Amino acid sequence: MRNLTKPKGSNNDPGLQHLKDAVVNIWDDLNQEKDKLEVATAKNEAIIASIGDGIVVTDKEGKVILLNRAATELLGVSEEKVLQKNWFEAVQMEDEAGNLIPLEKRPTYLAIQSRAAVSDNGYYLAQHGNHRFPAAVMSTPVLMGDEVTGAVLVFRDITKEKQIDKAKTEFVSLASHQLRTPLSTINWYLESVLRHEVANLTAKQQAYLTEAYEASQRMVTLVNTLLDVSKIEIGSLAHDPTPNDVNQILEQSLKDVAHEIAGKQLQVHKHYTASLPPVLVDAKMLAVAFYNLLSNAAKYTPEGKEITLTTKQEGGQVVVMIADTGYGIPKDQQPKIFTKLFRADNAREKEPDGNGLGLYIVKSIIEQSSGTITFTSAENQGTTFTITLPLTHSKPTS
Amino acid sequence: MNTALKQQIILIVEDEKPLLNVLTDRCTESGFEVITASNGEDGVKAATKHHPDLILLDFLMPKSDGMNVLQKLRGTPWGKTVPIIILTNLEPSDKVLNSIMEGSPSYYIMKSNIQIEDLMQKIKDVLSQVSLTM
Repeated sequence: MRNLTKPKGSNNDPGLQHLKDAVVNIWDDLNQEKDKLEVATAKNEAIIASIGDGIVVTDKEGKVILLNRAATELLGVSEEKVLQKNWFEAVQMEDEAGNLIPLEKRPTYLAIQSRAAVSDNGYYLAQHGNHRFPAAVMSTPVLMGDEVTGAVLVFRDITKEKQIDKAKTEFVSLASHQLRTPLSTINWYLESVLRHEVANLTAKQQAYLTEAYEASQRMVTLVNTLLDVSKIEIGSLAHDPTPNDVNQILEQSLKDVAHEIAGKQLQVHKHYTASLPPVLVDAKMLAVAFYNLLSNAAKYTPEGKEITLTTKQEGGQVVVMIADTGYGIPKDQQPKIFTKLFRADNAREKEPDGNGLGLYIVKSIIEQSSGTITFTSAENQGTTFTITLPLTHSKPTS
Repeated sequence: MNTALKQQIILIVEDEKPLLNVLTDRCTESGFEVITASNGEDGVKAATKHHPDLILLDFLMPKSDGMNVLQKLRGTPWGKTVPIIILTNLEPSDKVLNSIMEGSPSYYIMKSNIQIEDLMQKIKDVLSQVSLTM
């Protein structure tokens, strides 16, 4: 702001004196406002400068109009190398393998185009010739009224998180290997004794060994389930979302429970909507979620009854419904069914061996895929789970 | 079946003794000749020397792991075509899985997820497929 100079002049005309006083008053007020504004601006600048995350503000063409100290430090560049330059050219984004991310997939570009916040933690930021680092980025469009005037990009270095994530994944993988190996030994030996006429077993010996074998099989299932829980709790960094056909994943999961379904002679009705657009999910994880829901439906539905599977598109979402005509969930226990280790009383009665982790796993997976899961249930009538998954090629978060 | 003419040979590479024993017993009972190795290095040596009809290969082993054995064998003219069933309890990443499958005919089986009876059936199926394509 330009400096204001005090009006000059000496005149004894009372009217003029009045005017002069008024002008002096305005001048004082303006100066006070100017001081306040300067303090406020300095404060804002200090705040932005001291934020630990990198901040880059661009106009709607991608020209950098502001970047903070953390941004220059993280990128390893001086301010003038980026300020007033085109962000997309000044700083590169790469995937893990080092392939350049094209303009139309850059979060800042997507935020400006889609007018929605876009976040990602699978990319690397790199400055020409400088080191690159894995970054969690969040780009939000700046809206003035209805018009997008630019975007704010916030990013931070997640090298440490990635390392911890890798260490955890390796640990879980190794631990599960160590747990499974003795179980395989027990299983294969018991199977050999039971199925192969190695020994002339008495009926009682046969029964005892069968109990031992079945317990060991349950242990395998438990180890597999715990491994799923660990994978989920490691967090979204371990996920690998790619465009996938929901019908195909559901069909694959259905094959995995075919044995249980055939065993109880359950009828499966399929109402799939053909050629659904792809959803961005981790296919292996979504298969685990579907498997758990289908396996529950099979477990908690009496012989000969029905399971109905529906897939459809509704607006920007794919909806999957898994409905059974089984025992249902008691009303007073419905709020707790997604809680880790919780089991409903009637479920405990019908299947004493469950571990109370299935629905917890399902909910975690669906939520990590930016989806939702709800259900309706009535005792001895059945339960319907409804899953929605967003249809999107990018990853808007709002 | 050509088993009447010549007994088919299976090489089992496994460092876990109890698993090696039960696999050896079951394969022998199924009419195969069995050669064993309890680490990767010996596995490669045995394979090169005896040219088995099929290899059961553990993944996590001392002295050259299963991945190494696989790569070494697939790099030789004989080893290119021998069916290899990888038997492990280690969950593979997609990357590992893809590189295994490149060198066909390879199969990947989680030990804890298969019954030994089904494994024997799988071995027979794989061998009959190979003899069909020969």
